[in-house]
Amino acid sequence: MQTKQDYLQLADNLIGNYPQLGVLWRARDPALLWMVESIAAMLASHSAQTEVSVMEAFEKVRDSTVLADAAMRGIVPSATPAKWLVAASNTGNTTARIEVGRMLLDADGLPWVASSVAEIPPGDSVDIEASQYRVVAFTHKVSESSPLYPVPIPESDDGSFLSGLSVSDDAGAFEYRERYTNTLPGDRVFHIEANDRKQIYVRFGVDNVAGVQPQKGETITLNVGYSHGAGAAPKQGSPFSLAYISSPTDVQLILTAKQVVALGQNPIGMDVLRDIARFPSVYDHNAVYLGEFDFLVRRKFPTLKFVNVWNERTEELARGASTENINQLFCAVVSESGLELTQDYSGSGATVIADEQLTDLQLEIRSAIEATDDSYKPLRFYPVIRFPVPVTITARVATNYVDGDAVEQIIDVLLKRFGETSAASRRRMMPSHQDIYSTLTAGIPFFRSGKTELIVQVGDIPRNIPELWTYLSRESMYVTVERMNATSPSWGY
Amino acid sequence: MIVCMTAAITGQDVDRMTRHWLKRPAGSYYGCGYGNDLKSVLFTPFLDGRADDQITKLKEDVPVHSMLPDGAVSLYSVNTPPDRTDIVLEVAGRMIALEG
Repeated sequence: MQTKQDYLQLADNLIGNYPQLGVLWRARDPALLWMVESIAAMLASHSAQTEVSVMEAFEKVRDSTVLADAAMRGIVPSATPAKWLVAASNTGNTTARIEVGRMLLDADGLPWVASSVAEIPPGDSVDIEASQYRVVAFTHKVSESSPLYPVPIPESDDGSFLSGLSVSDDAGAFEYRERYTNTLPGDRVFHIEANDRKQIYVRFGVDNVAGVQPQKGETITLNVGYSHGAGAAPKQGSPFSLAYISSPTDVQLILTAKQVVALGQNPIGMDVLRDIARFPSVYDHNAVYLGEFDFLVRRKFPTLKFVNVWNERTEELARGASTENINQLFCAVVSESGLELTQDYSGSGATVIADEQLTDLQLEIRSAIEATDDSYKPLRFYPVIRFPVPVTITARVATNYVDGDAVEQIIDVLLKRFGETSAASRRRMMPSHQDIYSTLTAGIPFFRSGKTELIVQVGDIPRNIPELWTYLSRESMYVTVERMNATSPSWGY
Repeated sequence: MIVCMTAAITGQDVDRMTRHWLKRPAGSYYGCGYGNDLKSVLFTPFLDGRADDQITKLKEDVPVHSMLPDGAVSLYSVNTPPDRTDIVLEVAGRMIALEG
């Protein structure tokens, strides 16, 4: 890449050919000098541009390349709707009913849709699950019967993102098939893709090859779901309301936001796309690669507090061999809402959770694994065994630090890194002594100054219990700070 | 255009270079800050020193001025009746009235 100085040097070398101009150049006559300088600056920026272009196919720096790459991989920018539990309490004296699909509004005016049916007896309160999206119907008239006919999906007018789609015509609904996999000619399927300008299309098939081609003049109806993704975040206890009152009993209902089930997610941002573009391929997760069901569950349910999915080999190390374990996968999970069964450690592993006690989230995980690989028997769930790891920390610090403060600081730093809500505790974690030493020395300034002593002892963590959730808690840490007579390296106080 | 009759820089050249500077606002050349910024002197207090800043800028942008003795360049205003104030740049004895 040539810089401005390189071009000016070239000009300097050549000015000798022009003696009269040479005098002016050496006197730095502005009329000549700055003209040449600005031309040199333009050429230098053009050179930088060319430099980026040469490597662009490999390094994908520009936004337009990243978007084109994402379109080619089939990444469609879509948002995941937020899901909340809404408590509906009936203050009247007749039974009220909320059906699936009933529209609700939250305190910010965003549209929600009830996804579970509820009959609320008078005076009682029932929880319903609501997802934040709204469905708009569009019709499209087919202009000609061509293979892979595209129908563009209109953008929403209120800043929400695409989150769901269903396609139908007069003869019935179409089924979603990613990239026409396993599609016979005549199957009524559609495929969704995005182009590099983030315009999303629905595509139909090719006659006699895969799918169907819609006929000229047909009317296709798209029911597009738009959601605000992470922008829908009602506060706990905030009021919801029914969007339409359809009967007098509806007036008696009071709806409040009770608990989050799943947080909404915005579509993939540019920086994540830029990262993905560096890798040769991203498979579309409609099958499980190398048997990594754990990764599948983590990817589909990103906000779980702890999840572990294991196979029969690990299971038999924990609970002994049994023919029941053939073709079986096992899972222990605690979600953010904390509704799942958990128990405290009492010396041995847990017993299976019966189907009736499984929460909605656990049933969803079961169907997610079944959708990717149904050759396994239905997922078996174990309750998570809480195990706050006992850690003893003895620290000796210089006398000018306050005892209470020091203990609090140590506990805070360790809880942030290894506590119940930390990222480390989402998997099976064994905090090592090295880890704790380095976390404390990095996070607490007084360990880095003067003469300090730090002794850490981590209790034994039982092995071979895959449903064990290890984390550090305030009660499990035993911290003592002693003050020694050491001179502090600072001057003055 | 640029014509230098002899192999030396004369007062005529200095005059030409200064007029060139006066015609170009700062930043009108890509990649450098060459040019006058006399508009920033307007409507500011006299004693702010902005006029002196402009003369310093002129000396940086047009290096020939550094060869002239101090005081050869000055910027002052002349009150013309009934209500005009003209700003005049004086370079080595030549007066250049500033338009606009």
